[in-house]
Amino acid sequence: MIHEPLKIFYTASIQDIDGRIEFEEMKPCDSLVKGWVLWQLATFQNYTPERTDIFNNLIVADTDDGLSYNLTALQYASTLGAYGGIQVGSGSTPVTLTDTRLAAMLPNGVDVGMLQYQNCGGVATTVVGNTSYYGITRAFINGSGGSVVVSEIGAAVRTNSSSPKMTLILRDIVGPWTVANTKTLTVQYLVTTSVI
Amino acid sequence: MIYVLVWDKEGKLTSQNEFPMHSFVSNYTRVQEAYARRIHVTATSTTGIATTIHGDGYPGGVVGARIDAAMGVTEYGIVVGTGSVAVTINDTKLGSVLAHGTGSNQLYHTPVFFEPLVVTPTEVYLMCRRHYFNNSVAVITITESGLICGGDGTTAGRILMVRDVFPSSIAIPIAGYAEVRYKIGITT
Repeated sequence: MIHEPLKIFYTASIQDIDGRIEFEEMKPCDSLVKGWVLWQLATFQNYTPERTDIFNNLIVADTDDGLSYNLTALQYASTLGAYGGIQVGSGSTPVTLTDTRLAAMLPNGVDVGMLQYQNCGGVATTVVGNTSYYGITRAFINGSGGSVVVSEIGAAVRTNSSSPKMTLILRDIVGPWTVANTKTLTVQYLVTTSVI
Repeated sequence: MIYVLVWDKEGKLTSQNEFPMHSFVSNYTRVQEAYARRIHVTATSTTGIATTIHGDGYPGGVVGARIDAAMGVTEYGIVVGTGSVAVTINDTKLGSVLAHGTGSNQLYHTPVFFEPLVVTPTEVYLMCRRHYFNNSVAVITITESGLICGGDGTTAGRILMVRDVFPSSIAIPIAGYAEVRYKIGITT
């Protein structure tokens, strides 16, 4: 939880192959994790403290890596099949502040239990009344031949210049949502700030 | 949370204030968006011009979100002022930012300092702080504070991300000093 002026919401929808929406949900996220604070710290001072990436590798502090060419992007390296950006998983372990990865991230692919991670997209900053927001969105296509159950979602930023190390900043337990074969799950995070 | 502490010339703590941050303005989301999406985002700077946040790092991207201003720098970093106009989501500058110096209504600004990330079982937070020495010949009263980031790297291209007007004014005595702390984090 974070104090009220800054809130994050997720929306999720499942669409069939013709684009018909079969399920839609929007909820506030309650699950910013340590990586989010670390990300803020990195951008505020161009320095990234020691952290653990989504594959459980310990990454040493980077004295000049807070805002460098490759860094701090949710979207960068979130191209087709890549794990930076929005992720989905099948774990259900309760979220803790120090989570560094999803409990069971679903792999990218078309085999059993896999989803095809599409490019991340974005929603440009918009001001409505006393609230300002931007968004990150991603679609996951089920081409596995069977149903895939999603019970957790998250987002990771890239925090290393020499290789694509990803730091988890958000994790939420959801659903579970069953994504049938050929269906597409779309997840969007909206980051909002308000003057209150 | 924002903490404002004041000491007199003998080093005695004379005032402790803390209040919640209310006011991430819209340019905060623009800065975040630029880096999150690794794109260029345009914002209005503290000088009122259109400026670009280079979230892809080119050019000046390593400046963009930084608030770690050096000694004497008041165009960005943690800044204080004497304005009292209510905050709006579209604010791009403080009501009236105080300059660096020892003259009338000027404060001596130290560098912005970051503490190591704090992790406890119930919260994770960052803390940044800055000191303001009153070396002028009169009491200086502050009423607002803010976080301004580096923007496009030029003096004219700085970007206000946070502005708060204090619930009540805070006086810094002659030869005394104040410390403004921002605590930003998450709790269980």
